[in-house]
Amino acid sequence: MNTGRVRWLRALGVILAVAIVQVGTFDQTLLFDRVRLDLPLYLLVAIGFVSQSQEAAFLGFVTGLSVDLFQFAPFGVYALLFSVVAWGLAESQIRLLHPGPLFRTIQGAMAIIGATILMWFAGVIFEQDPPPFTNHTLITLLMIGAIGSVMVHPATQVARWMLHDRPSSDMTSAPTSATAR
Amino acid sequence: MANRTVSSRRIVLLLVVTALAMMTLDARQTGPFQGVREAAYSVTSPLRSAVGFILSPIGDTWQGIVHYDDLAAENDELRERVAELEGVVDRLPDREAELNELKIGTDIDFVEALPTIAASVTSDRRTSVERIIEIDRGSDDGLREGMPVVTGDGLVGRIILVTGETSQVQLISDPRTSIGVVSRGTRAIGVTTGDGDGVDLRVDLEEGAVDVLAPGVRFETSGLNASDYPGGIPVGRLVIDGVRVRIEPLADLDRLAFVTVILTEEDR
Repeated sequence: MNTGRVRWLRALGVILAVAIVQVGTFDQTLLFDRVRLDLPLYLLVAIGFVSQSQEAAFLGFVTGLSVDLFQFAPFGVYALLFSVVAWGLAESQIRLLHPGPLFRTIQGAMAIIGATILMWFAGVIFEQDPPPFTNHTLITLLMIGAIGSVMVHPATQVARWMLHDRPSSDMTSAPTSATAR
Repeated sequence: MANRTVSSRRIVLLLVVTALAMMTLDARQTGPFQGVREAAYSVTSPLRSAVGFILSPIGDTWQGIVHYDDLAAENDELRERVAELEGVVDRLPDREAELNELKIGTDIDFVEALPTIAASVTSDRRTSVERIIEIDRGSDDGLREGMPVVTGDGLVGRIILVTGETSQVQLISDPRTSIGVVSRGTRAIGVTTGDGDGVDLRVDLEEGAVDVLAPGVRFETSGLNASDYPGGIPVGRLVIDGVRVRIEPLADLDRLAFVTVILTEEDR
Protein backbone atom coordinates (compact mmCIF):
# COMPACT_ATOMS: atom_id res chain seq x y z
CA MET A 1 0.00 0.00 0.00
CA ASN A 2 1.54 3.32 -0.99
CA THR A 3 2.07 6.13 1.48
CA GLY A 4 -0.50 8.37 -0.22
CA ARG A 5 -3.26 5.84 0.32
CA VAL A 6 -2.17 5.23 3.92
CA ARG A 7 -2.24 8.98 4.50
CA TRP A 8 -5.80 9.29 3.18
CA LEU A 9 -7.00 6.28 5.16
CA ARG A 10 -5.38 7.73 8.26
CA ALA A 11 -7.08 11.07 7.61
CA LEU A 12 -10.45 9.38 7.12
CA GLY A 13 -9.99 7.39 10.34
CA VAL A 14 -9.07 10.47 12.37
CA ILE A 15 -11.98 12.49 10.95
CA LEU A 16 -14.47 9.71 11.75
CA ALA A 17 -13.01 9.17 15.22
CA VAL A 18 -13.27 12.87 15.97
CA ALA A 19 -16.91 12.93 14.81
CA ILE A 20 -17.75 9.92 17.01
CA VAL A 21 -16.03 11.40 20.08
CA GLN A 22 -17.87 14.67 19.43
CA VAL A 23 -21.32 13.10 19.20
CA GLY A 24 -20.56 10.62 22.01
CA THR A 25 -19.38 13.16 24.53
CA PHE A 26 -18.78 16.78 23.71
CA ASP A 27 -22.12 17.50 22.06
CA GLN A 28 -23.71 17.15 25.49
CA THR A 29 -21.25 19.26 27.45
CA LEU A 30 -21.31 23.03 27.67
CA LEU A 31 -18.36 24.85 29.19
CA PHE A 32 -19.47 27.69 31.44
CA ASP A 33 -23.03 26.86 30.34
CA ARG A 34 -22.52 28.45 26.94
CA VAL A 35 -19.58 27.06 24.91
CA ARG A 36 -19.63 23.63 23.30
CA LEU A 37 -16.25 22.09 22.50
CA ASP A 38 -16.37 21.43 18.78
CA LEU A 39 -13.59 18.98 17.89
CA PRO A 40 -14.45 18.68 14.17
CA LEU A 41 -14.27 22.47 13.88
CA TYR A 42 -10.84 22.62 15.55
CA LEU A 43 -9.61 19.84 13.26
CA LEU A 44 -11.03 21.71 10.28
CA VAL A 45 -9.12 24.88 11.14
CA ALA A 46 -5.96 22.84 11.67
CA ILE A 47 -6.43 21.21 8.25
CA GLY A 48 -6.73 24.68 6.76
CA PHE A 49 -3.44 25.59 8.41
CA VAL A 50 -1.38 22.62 7.24
CA SER A 51 -2.84 21.68 3.84
CA GLN A 52 -2.77 22.99 0.33
CA SER A 53 -6.03 24.62 -0.69
CA GLN A 54 -7.32 21.75 -2.87
CA GLU A 55 -6.57 19.17 -0.21
CA ALA A 56 -8.03 21.43 2.50
CA ALA A 57 -11.27 21.92 0.55
CA PHE A 58 -11.67 18.18 0.04
CA LEU A 59 -10.79 17.26 3.63
CA GLY A 60 -13.06 20.04 4.88
CA PHE A 61 -15.84 18.52 2.80
CA VAL A 62 -15.19 15.06 4.26
CA THR A 63 -15.04 16.47 7.81
CA GLY A 64 -18.33 18.25 7.17
CA LEU A 65 -19.89 15.02 5.86
CA SER A 66 -18.79 13.21 9.02
CA VAL A 67 -20.65 15.86 11.05
CA ASP A 68 -23.67 15.66 8.72
CA LEU A 69 -23.85 11.91 9.38
CA PHE A 70 -24.61 12.47 13.06
CA GLN A 71 -26.63 15.66 12.85
CA PHE A 72 -30.14 16.16 11.58
CA ALA A 73 -29.57 19.44 9.83
CA PRO A 74 -30.11 19.30 6.04
CA PHE A 75 -27.56 16.73 4.87
CA GLY A 76 -24.62 18.55 3.30
CA VAL A 77 -24.84 21.87 5.12
CA TYR A 78 -21.75 21.17 7.23
CA ALA A 79 -19.92 19.76 4.20
CA LEU A 80 -20.65 22.99 2.36
CA LEU A 81 -19.56 25.28 5.20
CA PHE A 82 -16.51 23.25 6.18
CA SER A 83 -15.13 22.91 2.65
CA VAL A 84 -15.39 26.67 2.09
CA VAL A 85 -13.84 27.52 5.48
CA ALA A 86 -10.94 25.06 5.07
CA TRP A 87 -10.28 26.26 1.53
CA GLY A 88 -10.36 29.92 2.60
CA LEU A 89 -7.94 29.25 5.44
CA ALA A 90 -5.56 27.29 3.22
CA GLU A 91 -5.66 30.03 0.58
CA SER A 92 -4.82 32.61 3.22
CA GLN A 93 -1.80 30.52 4.32
CA ILE A 94 -0.26 30.78 0.86
CA ARG A 95 0.15 34.50 1.36
CA LEU A 96 1.85 34.10 4.74
CA LEU A 97 5.55 33.54 5.23
CA HIS A 98 6.36 31.65 8.44
CA PRO A 99 3.60 33.00 10.69
CA GLY A 100 4.54 32.91 14.39
CA PRO A 101 2.68 30.93 17.09
CA LEU A 102 0.93 34.05 18.38
CA PHE A 103 -0.27 34.92 14.89
CA ARG A 104 -1.52 31.35 14.41
CA THR A 105 -3.33 31.52 17.76
CA ILE A 106 -5.11 34.72 16.79
CA GLN A 107 -5.81 33.41 13.31
CA GLY A 108 -7.22 30.19 14.77
CA ALA A 109 -9.51 32.13 17.10
CA MET A 110 -10.71 34.34 14.25
CA ALA A 111 -11.32 31.32 12.01
CA ILE A 112 -13.35 29.53 14.69
CA ILE A 113 -15.40 32.64 15.44
CA GLY A 114 -15.95 33.13 11.70
CA ALA A 115 -17.07 29.53 11.21
CA THR A 116 -19.40 29.81 14.21
CA ILE A 117 -20.97 32.95 12.74
CA LEU A 118 -21.36 31.16 9.38
CA MET A 119 -23.19 28.33 11.15
CA TRP A 120 -25.35 30.92 12.89
CA PHE A 121 -26.27 32.34 9.47
CA ALA A 122 -26.99 28.81 8.24
CA GLY A 123 -29.42 28.53 11.14
CA VAL A 124 -31.08 31.77 10.01
CA ILE A 125 -31.34 30.45 6.44
CA PHE A 126 -33.01 27.29 7.73
CA GLU A 127 -35.41 29.37 9.83
CA GLN A 128 -34.08 28.26 13.22
CA ASP A 129 -34.49 31.81 14.52
CA PRO A 130 -31.26 31.90 16.55
CA PRO A 131 -31.17 34.33 19.45
CA PRO A 132 -30.59 37.98 18.47
CA PHE A 133 -27.06 39.37 18.59
CA THR A 134 -26.53 40.88 22.05
CA ASN A 135 -23.67 41.49 24.49
CA HIS A 136 -24.33 37.97 25.73
CA THR A 137 -23.71 36.64 22.21
CA LEU A 138 -20.55 38.71 21.90
CA ILE A 139 -19.17 37.29 25.16
CA THR A 140 -20.03 33.77 24.00
CA LEU A 141 -18.26 34.35 20.67
CA LEU A 142 -15.16 35.68 22.46
CA MET A 143 -15.15 32.62 24.71
CA ILE A 144 -15.54 30.34 21.68
CA GLY A 145 -12.58 32.12 20.09
CA ALA A 146 -10.44 31.95 23.24
CA ILE A 147 -11.08 28.24 23.82
CA GLY A 148 -10.69 27.55 20.10
CA SER A 149 -7.35 29.35 19.96
CA VAL A 150 -6.04 26.97 22.62
CA MET A 151 -7.56 23.86 21.04
CA VAL A 152 -6.22 24.67 17.58
CA HIS A 153 -2.64 23.96 18.70
CA PRO A 154 -3.10 20.26 19.56
CA ALA A 155 -5.47 19.95 16.60
CA THR A 156 -2.71 21.22 14.34
CA GLN A 157 -0.36 18.56 15.64
CA VAL A 158 -3.01 15.91 14.94
CA ALA A 159 -3.59 17.30 11.45
CA ARG A 160 0.15 17.28 10.74
CA TRP A 161 0.43 13.66 11.90
CA MET A 162 -2.66 12.76 9.90
CA LEU A 163 -1.58 14.38 6.66
CA HIS A 164 2.17 14.17 6.65
CA ASP A 165 4.50 11.27 6.87
CA ARG A 166 6.58 12.80 9.66
CA PRO A 167 5.15 14.66 12.66
CA SER A 168 6.40 18.18 13.18
CA SER A 169 6.77 20.05 16.43
CA ASP A 170 7.03 23.35 14.61
CA MET A 171 3.61 24.97 14.33
CA THR A 172 5.06 27.95 12.55
CA SER A 173 6.17 26.26 9.35
CA ALA A 174 4.31 27.41 6.27
CA PRO A 175 2.04 24.93 4.49
CA THR A 176 4.06 25.21 1.30
CA SER A 177 7.03 23.64 3.02
CA ALA A 178 4.93 21.14 4.94
CA THR A 179 3.11 19.88 1.87
CA ALA A 180 6.09 19.75 -0.48
CA ARG A 181 6.02 16.02 -0.91
CA MET B 1 0.54 29.43 -8.99
CA ALA B 2 -2.32 31.07 -10.91
CA ASN B 3 -3.30 27.72 -12.46
CA ARG B 4 -3.28 26.06 -9.05
CA THR B 5 -5.55 28.78 -7.61
CA VAL B 6 -8.00 28.44 -10.51
CA SER B 7 -7.95 24.67 -10.09
CA SER B 8 -8.61 24.87 -6.33
CA ARG B 9 -11.48 27.29 -6.98
CA ARG B 10 -12.98 24.80 -9.42
CA ILE B 11 -12.73 22.06 -6.82
CA VAL B 12 -14.38 24.23 -4.18
CA LEU B 13 -17.12 25.13 -6.63
CA LEU B 14 -17.64 21.44 -7.41
CA LEU B 15 -17.81 20.60 -3.70
CA VAL B 16 -20.27 23.45 -3.06
CA VAL B 17 -22.51 22.28 -5.90
CA THR B 18 -22.31 18.70 -4.58
CA ALA B 19 -23.25 19.84 -1.07
CA LEU B 20 -26.15 21.92 -2.40
CA ALA B 21 -27.37 18.92 -4.43
CA MET B 22 -27.26 16.73 -1.30
CA MET B 23 -29.15 19.34 0.70
CA THR B 24 -31.80 19.57 -2.01
CA LEU B 25 -32.21 15.80 -2.19
CA ASP B 26 -32.40 15.57 1.59
CA ALA B 27 -35.00 18.35 1.74
CA ARG B 28 -37.08 16.45 -0.85
CA GLN B 29 -36.49 13.23 1.10
CA THR B 30 -35.45 11.46 -2.07
CA GLY B 31 -31.79 10.79 -1.34
CA PRO B 32 -30.29 7.86 0.56
CA PHE B 33 -29.31 10.10 3.46
CA GLN B 34 -31.83 8.82 6.01
CA GLY B 35 -30.56 5.28 5.43
CA VAL B 36 -26.95 6.46 5.63
CA ARG B 37 -27.62 8.18 8.95
CA GLU B 38 -29.38 5.10 10.31
CA ALA B 39 -26.43 2.95 9.29
CA ALA B 40 -23.96 5.42 10.81
CA TYR B 41 -25.85 5.49 14.10
CA SER B 42 -26.25 1.71 14.20
CA VAL B 43 -22.62 0.95 13.37
CA THR B 44 -21.17 3.52 15.73
CA SER B 45 -23.65 3.04 18.56
CA PRO B 46 -21.34 0.79 20.67
CA LEU B 47 -18.39 3.07 19.93
CA ARG B 48 -20.30 6.19 20.94
CA SER B 49 -21.45 4.51 24.14
CA ALA B 50 -17.90 3.39 24.90
CA VAL B 51 -16.50 6.86 24.25
CA GLY B 52 -19.18 8.41 26.44
CA PHE B 53 -18.48 5.86 29.19
CA ILE B 54 -14.70 6.39 29.08
CA LEU B 55 -14.82 10.17 28.93
CA SER B 56 -17.74 10.73 31.29
CA PRO B 57 -15.52 10.91 34.44
CA ILE B 58 -13.60 13.77 32.81
CA GLY B 59 -16.81 15.58 32.01
CA ASP B 60 -18.19 14.92 35.50
CA THR B 61 -14.99 16.22 37.09
CA TRP B 62 -15.14 19.34 34.96
CA GLN B 63 -18.80 19.87 35.82
CA GLY B 64 -17.90 19.40 39.47
CA ILE B 65 -15.21 22.07 39.25
CA VAL B 66 -17.21 24.72 37.42
CA HIS B 67 -20.52 24.01 39.14
CA TYR B 68 -19.28 23.30 42.67
CA ASP B 69 -21.55 25.90 44.29
CA ASP B 70 -24.57 24.70 42.32
CA LEU B 71 -23.83 21.09 43.26
CA ALA B 72 -23.49 21.96 46.95
CA ALA B 73 -26.82 23.80 46.86
CA GLU B 74 -28.40 20.93 44.95
CA ASN B 75 -27.07 18.45 47.53
CA ASP B 76 -28.64 20.45 50.34
CA GLU B 77 -31.90 20.60 48.43
CA LEU B 78 -31.81 16.85 47.76
CA ARG B 79 -31.11 16.07 51.43
CA GLU B 80 -34.17 18.09 52.41
CA ARG B 81 -36.18 16.34 49.74
CA VAL B 82 -35.03 12.90 50.91
CA ALA B 83 -36.04 13.74 54.48
CA GLU B 84 -39.40 14.95 53.24
CA LEU B 85 -39.95 11.82 51.14
CA GLU B 86 -38.92 9.56 54.02
CA GLY B 87 -41.68 11.22 56.00
CA VAL B 88 -44.15 10.62 53.20
CA VAL B 89 -43.17 6.96 52.91
CA ASP B 90 -43.53 6.48 56.64
CA ARG B 91 -47.07 7.75 56.41
CA LEU B 92 -48.06 5.35 53.67
CA PRO B 93 -49.77 2.23 55.00
CA ASP B 94 -48.13 -0.14 52.55
CA ARG B 95 -46.25 -0.35 49.26
CA GLU B 96 -49.42 -0.80 47.25
CA ALA B 97 -50.73 2.59 48.30
CA GLU B 98 -47.38 4.13 47.47
CA LEU B 99 -47.43 2.59 44.00
CA ASN B 100 -50.93 3.91 43.42
CA GLU B 101 -49.79 7.43 44.26
CA LEU B 102 -46.86 7.11 41.91
CA LYS B 103 -49.17 5.88 39.18
CA ILE B 104 -51.48 8.83 39.64
CA GLY B 105 -48.53 11.22 39.58
CA THR B 106 -47.08 9.86 36.38
CA ASP B 107 -50.25 8.91 34.58
CA ILE B 108 -50.50 10.45 31.12
CA ASP B 109 -54.25 10.75 30.83
CA PHE B 110 -54.38 11.89 27.22
CA VAL B 111 -52.88 8.70 25.85
CA GLU B 112 -55.90 6.59 26.83
CA ALA B 113 -55.66 3.04 25.49
CA LEU B 114 -52.44 3.40 23.51
CA PRO B 115 -49.42 1.54 24.89
CA THR B 116 -46.48 3.65 26.01
CA ILE B 117 -42.89 3.17 27.04
CA ALA B 118 -40.80 5.43 29.27
CA ALA B 119 -37.34 6.53 28.16
CA SER B 120 -34.58 8.69 29.54
CA VAL B 121 -32.93 11.43 27.53
CA THR B 122 -29.28 10.56 26.93
CA SER B 123 -28.24 13.39 24.67
CA ASP B 124 -29.53 16.85 23.92
CA ARG B 125 -28.19 18.44 20.75
CA ARG B 126 -29.47 21.88 19.96
CA THR B 127 -27.27 23.57 17.42
CA SER B 128 -28.10 26.55 15.25
CA VAL B 129 -29.58 24.20 12.66
CA GLU B 130 -31.37 21.47 14.61
CA ARG B 131 -33.29 20.61 17.80
CA ILE B 132 -32.76 16.91 18.54
CA ILE B 133 -32.66 14.72 21.64
CA GLU B 134 -31.55 11.11 21.91
CA ILE B 135 -33.40 8.60 24.10
CA ASP B 136 -32.28 5.23 25.44
CA ARG B 137 -34.96 3.17 23.70
CA GLY B 138 -34.86 1.82 20.17
CA SER B 139 -36.28 -0.75 17.80
CA ASP B 140 -35.44 -3.50 20.34
CA ASP B 141 -38.11 -1.92 22.57
CA GLY B 142 -40.65 -1.69 19.75
CA LEU B 143 -40.01 1.92 18.76
CA ARG B 144 -40.40 3.02 15.18
CA GLU B 145 -39.94 6.24 13.27
CA GLY B 146 -42.85 8.62 13.48
CA MET B 147 -43.94 7.68 17.00
CA PRO B 148 -44.88 10.68 19.14
CA VAL B 149 -42.90 11.49 22.26
CA VAL B 150 -44.58 13.21 25.21
CA THR B 151 -44.21 14.15 28.85
CA GLY B 152 -47.06 14.37 31.35
CA ASP B 153 -47.50 17.99 30.27
CA GLY B 154 -47.81 17.46 26.54
CA LEU B 155 -46.17 16.80 23.20
CA VAL B 156 -42.37 16.89 22.97
CA GLY B 157 -41.69 15.70 19.41
CA ARG B 158 -41.54 12.62 17.24
CA ILE B 159 -38.99 9.93 16.52
CA ILE B 160 -37.11 10.49 13.27
CA LEU B 161 -34.42 7.81 13.48
CA VAL B 162 -34.30 4.48 15.31
CA THR B 163 -31.41 2.13 15.98
CA GLY B 164 -31.50 -1.01 18.09
CA GLU B 165 -31.00 0.69 21.44
CA THR B 166 -31.47 4.42 20.85
CA SER B 167 -33.74 6.81 18.99
CA GLN B 168 -33.42 10.40 17.81
CA VAL B 169 -36.34 12.68 18.58
CA GLN B 170 -37.02 15.86 16.65
CA LEU B 171 -38.49 18.40 19.06
CA ILE B 172 -41.61 20.40 18.26
CA SER B 173 -39.42 23.52 18.45
CA ASP B 174 -37.48 22.36 15.37
CA PRO B 175 -38.57 24.47 12.37
CA ARG B 176 -39.03 21.32 10.29
CA THR B 177 -41.78 20.15 12.66
CA SER B 178 -45.35 21.01 11.69
CA ILE B 179 -48.32 19.87 13.77
CA GLY B 180 -52.01 20.03 12.98
CA VAL B 181 -53.75 21.37 16.11
CA VAL B 182 -57.28 22.05 17.30
CA SER B 183 -58.57 24.02 20.28
CA ARG B 184 -60.62 21.93 22.68
CA GLY B 185 -63.44 24.39 23.23
CA THR B 186 -63.94 26.20 19.94
CA ARG B 187 -62.71 23.44 17.61
CA ALA B 188 -60.67 26.09 15.75
CA ILE B 189 -57.96 24.35 13.74
CA GLY B 190 -54.47 25.43 12.74
CA VAL B 191 -50.93 24.30 12.03
CA THR B 192 -47.97 25.03 14.31
CA THR B 193 -44.35 25.22 13.21
CA GLY B 194 -41.26 25.19 15.40
CA ASP B 195 -39.23 28.36 15.67
CA GLY B 196 -36.18 27.40 17.71
CA ASP B 197 -35.28 27.00 21.37
CA GLY B 198 -37.04 29.10 23.97
CA VAL B 199 -39.35 30.57 21.35
CA ASP B 200 -43.08 29.87 21.19
CA LEU B 201 -44.36 27.90 18.20
CA ARG B 202 -45.63 29.75 15.17
CA VAL B 203 -49.26 29.01 14.38
CA ASP B 204 -51.37 29.46 11.27
CA LEU B 205 -55.02 29.44 12.36
CA GLU B 206 -58.05 29.13 10.14
CA GLU B 207 -59.49 32.45 9.01
CA GLY B 208 -61.36 34.36 11.71
CA ALA B 209 -60.24 32.02 14.49
CA VAL B 210 -58.05 34.66 16.17
CA ASP B 211 -61.12 36.88 16.71
CA VAL B 212 -62.96 34.26 18.75
CA LEU B 213 -60.04 32.75 20.66
CA ALA B 214 -58.91 34.08 24.01
CA PRO B 215 -55.28 33.99 25.18
CA GLY B 216 -54.54 30.85 27.14
CA VAL B 217 -56.81 28.58 25.09
CA ARG B 218 -55.29 25.13 24.96
CA PHE B 219 -54.52 23.38 21.69
CA GLU B 220 -54.03 19.67 21.13
CA THR B 221 -53.06 17.55 18.15
CA SER B 222 -55.95 17.33 15.69
CA GLY B 223 -55.15 13.86 14.36
CA LEU B 224 -56.70 14.84 11.05
CA ASN B 225 -55.85 13.02 7.83
CA ALA B 226 -52.14 12.95 6.93
CA SER B 227 -51.22 14.21 10.38
CA ASP B 228 -47.98 12.87 11.86
CA TYR B 229 -49.56 12.64 15.32
CA PRO B 230 -52.61 10.93 16.81
CA GLY B 231 -55.32 13.28 18.02
CA GLY B 232 -55.78 14.53 21.56
CA ILE B 233 -52.19 15.13 22.67
CA PRO B 234 -51.90 18.52 24.42
CA VAL B 235 -49.51 20.82 22.54
CA GLY B 236 -49.67 24.30 24.04
CA ARG B 237 -51.67 27.34 24.95
CA LEU B 238 -52.43 30.38 22.82
CA VAL B 239 -50.35 33.51 23.35
CA ILE B 240 -51.51 36.75 21.71
CA ASP B 241 -49.06 39.64 21.76
CA GLY B 242 -50.45 42.44 19.59
CA VAL B 243 -50.73 41.01 16.08
CA ARG B 244 -48.37 38.16 16.92
CA VAL B 245 -50.16 34.90 17.64
CA ARG B 246 -48.14 31.98 19.01
CA ILE B 247 -48.53 28.69 20.84
CA GLU B 248 -46.54 28.25 24.04
CA PRO B 249 -45.59 24.56 24.41
CA LEU B 250 -46.99 22.89 27.52
CA ALA B 251 -44.03 20.51 27.84
CA ASP B 252 -40.86 22.08 29.22
CA LEU B 253 -38.57 21.42 26.28
CA ASP B 254 -35.54 22.89 28.05
CA ARG B 255 -35.65 20.36 30.91
CA LEU B 256 -36.17 16.94 29.42
CA ALA B 257 -34.80 14.10 31.53
CA PHE B 258 -37.52 11.47 31.05
CA VAL B 259 -40.07 11.18 28.28
CA THR B 260 -42.76 8.74 27.21
CA VAL B 261 -43.04 7.28 23.74
CA ILE B 262 -46.55 6.48 22.50
CA LEU B 263 -46.41 3.19 20.64
CA THR B 264 -48.76 3.99 17.81
CA GLU B 265 -49.99 1.00 15.85
CA GLU B 266 -49.01 2.01 12.35
CA ASP B 267 -47.00 4.57 10.42
CA ARG B 268 -48.91 7.76 10.22
